Amino acid sequence: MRDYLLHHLLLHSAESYPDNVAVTFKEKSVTYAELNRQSNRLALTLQQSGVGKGDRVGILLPKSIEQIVSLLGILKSGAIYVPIDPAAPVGRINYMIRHCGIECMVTAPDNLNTVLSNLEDKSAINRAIVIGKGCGQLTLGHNKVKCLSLDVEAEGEASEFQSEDLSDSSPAYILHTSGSTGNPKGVAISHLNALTFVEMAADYFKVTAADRFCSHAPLHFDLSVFDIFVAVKCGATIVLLPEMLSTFPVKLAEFIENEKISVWNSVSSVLTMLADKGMLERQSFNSLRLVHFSGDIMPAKYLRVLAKQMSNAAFYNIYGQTEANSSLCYPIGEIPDNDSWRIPVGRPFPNFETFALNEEQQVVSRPGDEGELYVSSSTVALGYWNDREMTREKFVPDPRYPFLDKIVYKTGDLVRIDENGNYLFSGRKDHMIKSRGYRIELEEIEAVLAGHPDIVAAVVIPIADDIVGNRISAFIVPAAGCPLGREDIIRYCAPQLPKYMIPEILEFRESLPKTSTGKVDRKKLSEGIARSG
Amino acid sequence: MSILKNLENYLLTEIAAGLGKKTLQPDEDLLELGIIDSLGLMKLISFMEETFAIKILDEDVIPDNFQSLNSMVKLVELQAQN
Repeated sequence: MRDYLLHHLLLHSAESYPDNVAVTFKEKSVTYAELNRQSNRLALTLQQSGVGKGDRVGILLPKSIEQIVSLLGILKSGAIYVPIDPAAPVGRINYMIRHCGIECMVTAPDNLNTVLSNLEDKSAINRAIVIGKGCGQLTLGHNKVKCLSLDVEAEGEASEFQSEDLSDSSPAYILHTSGSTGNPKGVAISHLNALTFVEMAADYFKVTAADRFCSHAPLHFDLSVFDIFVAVKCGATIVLLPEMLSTFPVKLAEFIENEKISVWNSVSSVLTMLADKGMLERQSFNSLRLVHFSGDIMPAKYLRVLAKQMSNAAFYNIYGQTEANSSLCYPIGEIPDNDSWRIPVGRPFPNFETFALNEEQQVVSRPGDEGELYVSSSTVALGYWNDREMTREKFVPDPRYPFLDKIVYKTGDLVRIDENGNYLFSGRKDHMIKSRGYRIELEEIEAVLAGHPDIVAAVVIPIADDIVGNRISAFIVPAAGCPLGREDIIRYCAPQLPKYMIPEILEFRESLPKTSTGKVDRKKLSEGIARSG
Repeated sequence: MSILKNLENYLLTEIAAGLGKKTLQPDEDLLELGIIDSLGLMKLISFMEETFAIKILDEDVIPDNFQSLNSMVKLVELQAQN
């Protein structure tokens, strides 16, 4: 029988490749047999602490082997994993805990202490599994939280956890993305959604047990699904990239070389930095056979550098959203000798379907035609957790089947068809942008700014940038007699917005330009920046 | 203003304003604290190049040179001699 739940992938690899290294991080690594045993132990501990089918369990851990053990252990227990970035602002962490109804966390002592001391609702979290050694260091005065320390590496077999009856349509994990209302949206993804992509990708990219995946994306980013689960399915090795290394392009290039990485998957901005400042000519990159980039636009000049220096690798532009995983891809062939060449987002993967509708709601099919892209596939997520209204807005009945309520995901992306039948990304229907591969709803930043007591109005405008995709600028009108400075704004935003969403450029104005209909004239503001920049 | 003070000011107001810290110790590990990440590093390099009229080579963009205020001061001084 085929695997129908995500953690079944691990059971098979643990049987077929027990001694293959599954995950490696710095000097530590675990084999598939160990990963299976450790995640079994966590699943049992979770169940003994009362976690059951469908419960949301937070993973609050830095990049580590324990992160991988955690997500597999949570899935085995029948629960849903919710990755929480330990570096996320406290306001955002509080929101995710409340919004998803997370009562139990898998975490490390430091991370737990930080979160608990900033928790708005002290009764929200009532259990924590503190993973790893040295759990005796817990200095918590939070008596209401029952802390269980778990040394997953302890010798000996754990007693078996209770395998839950689950269908493949059950939610497996919830990932948060920027939301226009001022709070992030939790996208709920089922086992089937994830497996549809994982099975296809393993096959399409001919992944084998000999591959070494560099896991660059953090767990809360959906690119991690490819790195982790495709590797686990094939018995390949996940090489976790220490976060600090991605900051230093020369070191990152050395890491790819020394670790004999064969599969690389990241947002474009990391690769553009690598091409620009990584001194790639120093390395051979002999092992590197696949390079995926996604998230934002890769300028042709950097792609040319990468293709030259990583000459064994096949390059793919991958397009997708958390709500439907990756759905389109464009294999890079000849790179035109033209720096303004826009790399197409390509065509759907096998067994995936996408279509674009024009303003008359007709499917576009001719070169030059433009429309909004819809994704129709088993990868289309279950919806937004605890947000029916937003779910109904974006997960809509397929307009091509008026007699059925078959659901498709309405991406909000505008695409055009090129002369070869590939889709080209041509813009957004709303104010969402990409910066460093992160999806950012400009309204989310505006909503946070508008909450400042001394701000009368605020508008956020993106500035296109070769390396990072977009930089964020904000125009702010302070209340009369309230002198506001740059630092006031940054300090105000920091507990509420992740770093990549905090405006980089701030301008204070007495008023904002308006269009004839009385709306803020965003175009005029953008032109002003373009001229002065 | 000394190189160290200048760098400290820039880090506190531009790169790490969100932390609300008032001072940085000369040997504090800025990488460990997450003060310098990829978002901030490129901005910091442009600032250092402009303010101190130096050129920071790609090969010098390594953790050792950006670990702490002291290591950045050393980098600036070394580049200024060249």
